[in-house]
Amino acid sequence: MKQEAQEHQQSDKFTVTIFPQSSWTEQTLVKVNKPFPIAIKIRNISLEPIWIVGVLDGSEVGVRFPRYIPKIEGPGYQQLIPEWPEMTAPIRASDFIELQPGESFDPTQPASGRAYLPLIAFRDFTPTTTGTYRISLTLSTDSANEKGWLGSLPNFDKAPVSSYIYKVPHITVISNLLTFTVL
Amino acid sequence: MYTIDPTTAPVSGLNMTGNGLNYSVDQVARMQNILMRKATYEPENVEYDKSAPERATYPSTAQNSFRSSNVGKETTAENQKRNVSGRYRGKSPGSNIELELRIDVDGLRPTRRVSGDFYQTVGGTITYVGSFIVTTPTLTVITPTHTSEQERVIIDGEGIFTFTTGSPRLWITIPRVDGFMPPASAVAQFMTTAGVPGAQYTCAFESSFFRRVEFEMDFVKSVQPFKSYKTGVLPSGGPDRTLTVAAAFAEAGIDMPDPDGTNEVPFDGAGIDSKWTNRELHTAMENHFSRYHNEPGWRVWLLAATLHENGPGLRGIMFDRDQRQGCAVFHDVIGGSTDQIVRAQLRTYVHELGHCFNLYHSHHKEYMQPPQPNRLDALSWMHYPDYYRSGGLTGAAAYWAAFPFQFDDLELIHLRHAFRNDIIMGGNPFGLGAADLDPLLFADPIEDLSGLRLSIKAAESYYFGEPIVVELKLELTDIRGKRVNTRIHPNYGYVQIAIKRSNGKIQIYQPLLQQCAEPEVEYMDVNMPAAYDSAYIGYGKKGFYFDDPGAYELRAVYHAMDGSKVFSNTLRLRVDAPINEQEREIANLFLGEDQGKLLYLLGSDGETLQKGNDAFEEMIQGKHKSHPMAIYAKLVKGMNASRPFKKIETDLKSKLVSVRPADYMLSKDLLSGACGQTIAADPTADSMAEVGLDNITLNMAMQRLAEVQKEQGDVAGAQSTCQDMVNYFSKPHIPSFVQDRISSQAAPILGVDYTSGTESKPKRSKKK
Repeated sequence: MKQEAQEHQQSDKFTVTIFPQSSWTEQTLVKVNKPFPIAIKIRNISLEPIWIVGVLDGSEVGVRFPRYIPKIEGPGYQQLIPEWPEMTAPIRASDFIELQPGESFDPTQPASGRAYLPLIAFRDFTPTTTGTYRISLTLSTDSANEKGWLGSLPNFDKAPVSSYIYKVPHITVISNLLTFTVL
Repeated sequence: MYTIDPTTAPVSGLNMTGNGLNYSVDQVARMQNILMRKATYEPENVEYDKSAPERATYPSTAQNSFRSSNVGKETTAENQKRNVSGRYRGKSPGSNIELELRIDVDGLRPTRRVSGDFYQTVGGTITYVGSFIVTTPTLTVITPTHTSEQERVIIDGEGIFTFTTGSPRLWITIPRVDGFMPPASAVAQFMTTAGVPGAQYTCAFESSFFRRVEFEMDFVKSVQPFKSYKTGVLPSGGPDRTLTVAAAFAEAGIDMPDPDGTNEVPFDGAGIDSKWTNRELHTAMENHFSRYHNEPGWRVWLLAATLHENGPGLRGIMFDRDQRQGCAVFHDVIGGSTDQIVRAQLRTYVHELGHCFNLYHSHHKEYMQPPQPNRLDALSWMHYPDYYRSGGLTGAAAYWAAFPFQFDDLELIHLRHAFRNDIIMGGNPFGLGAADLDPLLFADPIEDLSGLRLSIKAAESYYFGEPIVVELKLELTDIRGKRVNTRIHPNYGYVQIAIKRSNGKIQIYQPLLQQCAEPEVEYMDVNMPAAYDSAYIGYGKKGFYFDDPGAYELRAVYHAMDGSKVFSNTLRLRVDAPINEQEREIANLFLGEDQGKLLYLLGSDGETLQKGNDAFEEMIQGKHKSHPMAIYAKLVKGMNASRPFKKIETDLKSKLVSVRPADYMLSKDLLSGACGQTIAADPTADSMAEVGLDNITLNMAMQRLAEVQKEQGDVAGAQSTCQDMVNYFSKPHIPSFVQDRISSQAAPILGVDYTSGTESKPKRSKKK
């Protein structure tokens, strides 16, 4: 297992790192039809606090911001795509997290009122064929247009979150590339 | 305010989901008693908030694993007694209130709840009154000790009501009958908490289902709609059975028969890109849903379509969030014939229809009002399989392996027992609880045999501060003719108008001065098929009703002589925010309390209203005198000047009454200005002019102007005004009987004998 740094799209704000969820070493074998969940860590590498949001419904298929788009390539592997949401939950002030310099968080772990969801493609990843797999994650917050963030469920007051949306750095970051061989 | 309490006599949860078997009432009662004896037993912590869908919340202690399908069975194997659960209906003696009673204490997945809806029949209309639910009734099966006695089921509990009630306790008695006997009636006795009897309803058994919904499905050409799925084909958490959409809802207690036939919707309904937008779907619904109606009703439409514009992965959508009567599924995404695909089709169809019953996703429950905890472990039609999480199991595979093809327990309670407006299509909007509106006054009639139709009309938009005047029209729909009270101005109280602001707040317009007048009864028939009036409703007892820019919705109700309530269309209008300093200044000249009263009264010399008169004078003479809003100031002051004004000199001991005589000269100038500006503004309008007086007010003002001119001795001027009036109202869209009435108003001044025959009618000149 190795991580290819050259394909990262870097940012001076934060990094996105993906890694096997369990304790794996390069000597650990990855086997066909054995679940191999992937974890995510986002770290503030700037000298200032930054605001960020974890995975919300619609994030994984890119219908709303923040977009968390996983990419899994393997021989003949068909990546899991979650059900396309017909309506998306409103983003709330509590969904925004402030990361201090050096601080990191898992964007799929709900806590403290944050309604984060798993990335289905990562959580349920089970290689189906042998061969080399390459996995990455693109995180995009690159929209200052509120509409792309707010969600579509009714009865929602956007006023409390508008200011937060503008606090999030509007950028696109690609994670490390996780490459490994499935036996 | 509505004050009927249907539970008062006229002056004359147990988590009983169990194992999903078809329970007898004996079993349910025994389980209830066991639980009550348990030292650790805590009363079921059910909170039922009337303002939200799926409102019941309680700790889920038992998984509702479905093991048998006994839909439609009304008897139990245990003792061959007929189940008592189902829908009952009946009236209280001497009352016009009907109760639909839902008893849910045995049978398939009993929730051990009782609920009901009240309806009032007045004249030719049936109107919804309110709902209730008993969440934790005590269930007792009385075994006879004597042969002359009959075995019976007693259900006793205190209800939660949508209205204030003096008799919240409900005592229901249902005789138990053998399976081969006809179902027995239920007697529902309401009583006070102290046990004093209130109203009693004897309700005949109607159905073993709790609700009935008309289901219609159409499909786009090339789409092969879902028909059925055999649940045992793939591993699942439930028994093997064949499910159609109707069967899935039947298991929840909803009678929603599969549509007899489906219609093909032309593919071009999706536009040239072949992708459906919500607007296109709504148009398709309006065109193809035979039961489509812009009112609450137990009906739902599903379109099996191709693809939605929102994305290539969207399986289905409830596109009609306001009314919840339409949804669509997309076969470019869910189409196919493998077992997995057909299974997904079934889930998608039921899931989207579930939204129409005001059900949220299992992972969106926290966004309802009020919120509930999300239920990520729900094995429900309403869950997204990907988000399923229970114990260490997650995802779609785990969901499908355990899914018993059903709604979860709380959704089941909502489907069977939610307050009517929280579930009925066209009731509360998706996710919203009850509105701040008197439930009876503006509830939609279930049935309308009044033979009358009420419409309300106004301009689409208004300046901020502009007087809001609505035109009311009451017309006959029963061609046989009938006697009708034609006092339709809200001042008389026979018509009431609800005003809904964009923030959802609803107010009932209350006139500043309620006029107590006997009905003015006229015989309506083909010769006089409608009555008209216009009303200024900008100001009333509660002050200004349109004092914020934004969108407003208005609806009126007419109280007919036979007690029927005739509801109008919903009128939408907009008050525009001022866009410049001039409009802000003009708004300030109109939005004072004095001005509101002067507009309501059509003028006054009252000293306490001097500020208002000064503002209108400023409007007429000042820098804004050429603005269209000056018309209203001229009307108010012109009408006031046309009549004498009596004033009591309170500073004198004798309290002499002084009279200010009519000022015909001033009145003529002002009224001719107001009328002339209106006519000039839009002489060819087919509808209400965007600026200026409405037709009815204009008609009144022109009549007064002609009278003033006549009083002044200006007969030629009066005749000219009358001729202008006849000409103006001779537009093709104005009904001939209205034109005739205007001609008859003009006739005395024009010097023609209108009553002697049509030949002597005032002629409509071609002059503008």
